[in-house]
Amino acid sequence: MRAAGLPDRIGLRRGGPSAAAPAAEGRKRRRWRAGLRSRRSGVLIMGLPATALFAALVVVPIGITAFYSFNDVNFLRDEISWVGLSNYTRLWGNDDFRHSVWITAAIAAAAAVVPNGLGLMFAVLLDAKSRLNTALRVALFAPFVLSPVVVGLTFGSILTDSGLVNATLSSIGIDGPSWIGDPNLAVVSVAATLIWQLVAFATVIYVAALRAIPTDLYEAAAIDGASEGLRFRLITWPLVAPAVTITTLVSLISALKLYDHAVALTGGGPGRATETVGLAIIRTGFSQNRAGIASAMAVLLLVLTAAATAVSLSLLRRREVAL
Amino acid sequence: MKRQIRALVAVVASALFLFPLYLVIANALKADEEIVNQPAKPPLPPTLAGLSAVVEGGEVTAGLRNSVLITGSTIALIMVVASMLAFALHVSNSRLGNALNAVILFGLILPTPVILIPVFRVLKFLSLQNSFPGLVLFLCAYYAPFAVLVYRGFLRSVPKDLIEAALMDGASYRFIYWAVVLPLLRPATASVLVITGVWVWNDFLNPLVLLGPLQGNTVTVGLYRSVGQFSINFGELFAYMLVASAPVLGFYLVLQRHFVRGLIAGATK
Repeated sequence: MRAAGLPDRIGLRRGGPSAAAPAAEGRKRRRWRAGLRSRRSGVLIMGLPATALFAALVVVPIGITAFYSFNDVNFLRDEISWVGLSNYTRLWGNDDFRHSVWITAAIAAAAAVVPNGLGLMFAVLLDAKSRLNTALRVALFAPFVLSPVVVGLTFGSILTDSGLVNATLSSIGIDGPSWIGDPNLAVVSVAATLIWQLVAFATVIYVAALRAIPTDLYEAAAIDGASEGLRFRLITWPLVAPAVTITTLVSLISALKLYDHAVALTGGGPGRATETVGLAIIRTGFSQNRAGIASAMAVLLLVLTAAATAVSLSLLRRREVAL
Repeated sequence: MKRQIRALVAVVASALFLFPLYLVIANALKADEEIVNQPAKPPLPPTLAGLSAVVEGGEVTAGLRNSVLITGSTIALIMVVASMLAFALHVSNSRLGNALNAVILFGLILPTPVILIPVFRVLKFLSLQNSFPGLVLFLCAYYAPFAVLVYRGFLRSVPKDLIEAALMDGASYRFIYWAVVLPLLRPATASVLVITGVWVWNDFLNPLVLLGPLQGNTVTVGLYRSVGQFSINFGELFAYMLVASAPVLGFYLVLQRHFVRGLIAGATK
């Protein structure tokens, strides 16, 4: 970084005059420090454009969502009437929405675990310095930059009843299941589509985490006769704790807001089998024009996301500290 | 020997993992029947039939143009407003600034479906519904928290003494931002540019809802809308997917270093 060399130069420059006239210099510094404090709050004005945008198009909408969730909202007739908690109580008794919450949570749980495992595996496999590994590392991250719609449609072409997966299975004599037609398997397929992209992300994070571990730790352990498995358990796993934290959080948040992958792969079907909470909100709010109910779903999703993030962050951070 | 086995395992596992990516590229260069009957076969000899059919339709080129316009203006705006906010938060260190920072960080976990209905109402109130500027402003607001996070991470490596020295010489904060800090933040800007650029390009739900069908599609939305139309012709579907993906893949390959560094800078703090 270019800034690294600068402190010394400034130190020298400041050291010059203060050595010549220490008292005057001290007074001068005190004065500008006081002036600095008053100017400091003024600098926040520079943050105004971003803050205004964020307030108008993120914070205010969160407030409106919360407000709508206590109302019956009809945009077509421009009517809003207060209904208290009834949108929430209706959701509680709504089996479709419970199913949405259940599959979204299940996909989130899978997304929190699988990318960590596979990402770490790839990172360990590609850790050694070689031209091959460098090329593979660049290639392995590419899925993360693809559009979820492209990924969903591509997985759709692989997973149809006559697609590549079942063609491969039938060539070894297995009659493949209906990956998109079966309600339960369709959820697995949607999860796999998301997880494929998250593994790419996790690999990058773990590759960087492994790089940061000093090699002499491994050398010392090898001299002491620790097996490769033991070295992984005692050195690698504890020292990649921050990578576990970030991979888990990003995966959880991506899974809880899942929309694009599911729309492109299954459209929420068969029936409503793969309708995630995100899909349910958009269908109810826009297609059915029931913004009140959709907003209650949205508030619940936001609470769920915030809770999942807070709990896993505190658990994982505690683990980072304990290690 | 052990090294070679490891390399072999790495290659096989990576090839399996990257197989869907291979399909996107290979099948865009194959004829329709070939895709259906032999999806895994390499495109030899390659055919440009699917690609030229999709491009001649005209819709893809319009979609590409819209995507370039929306992505370009969003990242330009984000770079300016997010770096200014990050600088302001970095210097001010006041209670107000810290509160603002906490609110902005909350934006990182916010799922878009939660706010899209009211965002549409707010944009309508501003007479910006179904318009490019409306979409750009929202995308900028939605992705700004990540950009602020990356900028703040990089700002930590800018010594406070440097800013204080400039202040002592009588420079204003605005001048310091332009002349001292912004040039030092160039690597952060590169990271913000690639990462938010890829996200905005790939974004699907926001343009689908906020742009509506009449203003023209981004390339991602156009791809989705054409699925019904192309449901039988896999040749054109894969060609469309390659056209939609090639810019981001190319962007990533060229600027991959910045991509990874930005994600790690954003991720570790």
